[in-house]
Amino acid sequence: MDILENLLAGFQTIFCLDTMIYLFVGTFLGTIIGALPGMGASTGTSILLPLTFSMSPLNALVMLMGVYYGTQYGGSLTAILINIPGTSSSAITAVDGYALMKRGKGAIALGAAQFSSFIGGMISTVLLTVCGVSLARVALKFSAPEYFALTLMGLTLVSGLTGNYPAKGYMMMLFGMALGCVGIDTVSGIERFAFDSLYLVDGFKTVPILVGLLGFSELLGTIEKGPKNQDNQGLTTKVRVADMIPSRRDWKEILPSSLRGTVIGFVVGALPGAGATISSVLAYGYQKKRTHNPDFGNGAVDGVSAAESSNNASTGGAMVPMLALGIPGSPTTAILMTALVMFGMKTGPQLFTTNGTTIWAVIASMYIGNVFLLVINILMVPLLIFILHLAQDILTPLVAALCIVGVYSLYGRIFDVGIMLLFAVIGYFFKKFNFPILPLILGVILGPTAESSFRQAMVMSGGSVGIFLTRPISCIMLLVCVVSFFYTPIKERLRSKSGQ
Amino acid sequence: MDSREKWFRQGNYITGGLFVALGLFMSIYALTQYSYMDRYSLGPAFYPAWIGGFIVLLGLLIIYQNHKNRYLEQKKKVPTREAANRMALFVIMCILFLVVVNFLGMVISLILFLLAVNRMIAQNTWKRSIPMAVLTTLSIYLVFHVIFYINFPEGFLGF
Repeated sequence: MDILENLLAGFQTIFCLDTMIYLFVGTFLGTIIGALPGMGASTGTSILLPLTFSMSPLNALVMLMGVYYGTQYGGSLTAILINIPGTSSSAITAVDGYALMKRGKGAIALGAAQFSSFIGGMISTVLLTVCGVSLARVALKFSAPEYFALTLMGLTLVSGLTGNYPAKGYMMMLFGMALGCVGIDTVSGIERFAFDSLYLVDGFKTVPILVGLLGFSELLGTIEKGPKNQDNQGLTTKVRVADMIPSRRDWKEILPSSLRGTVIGFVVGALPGAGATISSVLAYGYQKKRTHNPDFGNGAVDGVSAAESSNNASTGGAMVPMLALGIPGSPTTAILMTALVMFGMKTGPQLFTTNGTTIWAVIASMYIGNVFLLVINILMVPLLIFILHLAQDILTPLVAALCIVGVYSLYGRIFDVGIMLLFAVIGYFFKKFNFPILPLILGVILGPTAESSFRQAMVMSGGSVGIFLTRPISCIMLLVCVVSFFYTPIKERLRSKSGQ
Repeated sequence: MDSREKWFRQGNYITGGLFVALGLFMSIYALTQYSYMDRYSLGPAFYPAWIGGFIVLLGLLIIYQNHKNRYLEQKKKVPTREAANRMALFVIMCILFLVVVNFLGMVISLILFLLAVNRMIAQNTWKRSIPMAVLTTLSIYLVFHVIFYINFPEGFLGF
């Protein structure tokens, strides 16, 4: 009852004109920032933070939070429309989303993305409200062995993504993991494979690689087809708002996958350091095991909804350690915590006691913010598609410019633009010779965490691998990995035997 | 075996071979330059050495499977000479952009890049290309530099 009373008091606090305006501005800006490649939640919130100095604490926090979860909605727009993920967590959305777009089903993909984002965002906010503090205590039990088991779970999902050529799929995963070896080794502090280059010391950043592999290499494919190619005739060119509302049949795919994605996203988001990208990968991989859709990976609605619901749910999950324990799980939540400190709020477990009114109001604003985002995005999509259709002749140079500037804006390095170009060329040839890109993306995202957590676990145990089996959470997750790894090939074999 | 199959097979051989080379380099370089075991834990060579080793094994497997023609059923279209030239031209334009941006600045370089891509790749008219290049660059400048305070490389003109 306390929770409900606090939440209602929070709603009462935020229902005033100026707070609602700041919430709307935050969510709108978050959508735009999320859609722009290279700009993520951390960039957006860090840029807007100084602007909040003159605001009241509530208005500032409500706006910054709106930017944070708004970027997850916005990231899916460019991922689906032009195969360029606005945020790294939307990379997985692009796989099925853009395939649907090319088949003239962009409306369904965009609708599924927005509604599943809404489901993920709302349910995770409810979970944050109800069990945030309890989950925070569980999150504290996660250490290096559990993180390793978690990333291994993600990597074993490759077994379901390799198609008929597992050797190529695993090769791509290993290649992605190899890319993570470049740069400073987080455990020993030594530079690896840097060859005395100042740029390579920092390692390869994820976003230039993703934008290069997905968006820019797609541009090369478009250029290959020529300026007046007929292949784009299937592309979605016009969408009405009504087209984006999923049908009953679509809901049968969207709802279960969104619910699964939400739970995975919230739980993984609550783990410091895990984040929206890892949660979307895990949710997508889990949905791959559960789906009966033969188009999964080539244009399946439930692929879009699993990824999107989980990356939105992870923002609610990320609030758990931040608010309940004072632990920032990501750069964005670190910036949000900076805002809390800036306004004189003492972060940590006592935050709810000392500043309960403001914090409950911020949580209440997340409910309303998700409604704003659904409406904003649903209304924005037809306009974006109309603009894209008008600009088709100039789409190639437009997208190229956006990718270049977006990637540059990440760290202000032309080197990253060069990396994007390199991976665009590599990605083009990989696609030509049927090397799947998704396992490469998995390897790039999960490889560094897998290595550092494994080595840290070895330090903790004094070199014994038994640590992974003696810790219950890690042991259970490793068992899931083993089952997951062998499940698909055994299932396929049994299916082919029963077919015979 | 037709030319498409030949091209596809050669491509897989080359890719497999490159992966074998990458794997060997990674493992050998890691083992010779970094420590495999540190005093208290696994050293920085542990992970790249094993990853490199597995890459070598899988690279050899890919080469073997390619030799057995296992990949031919999913061969893709070979780019025509014209298409290859177009793609190469685009890549060269991107490289030139990277080279000149620090001298001419982001604004001028982007305008020139967009103009070149519009005219030579998308084959739009000057009437369409020039306004597109200028308006796009100005919009990007407004959004990224003015609104979001992203600093762009400045050329001799100061922007």
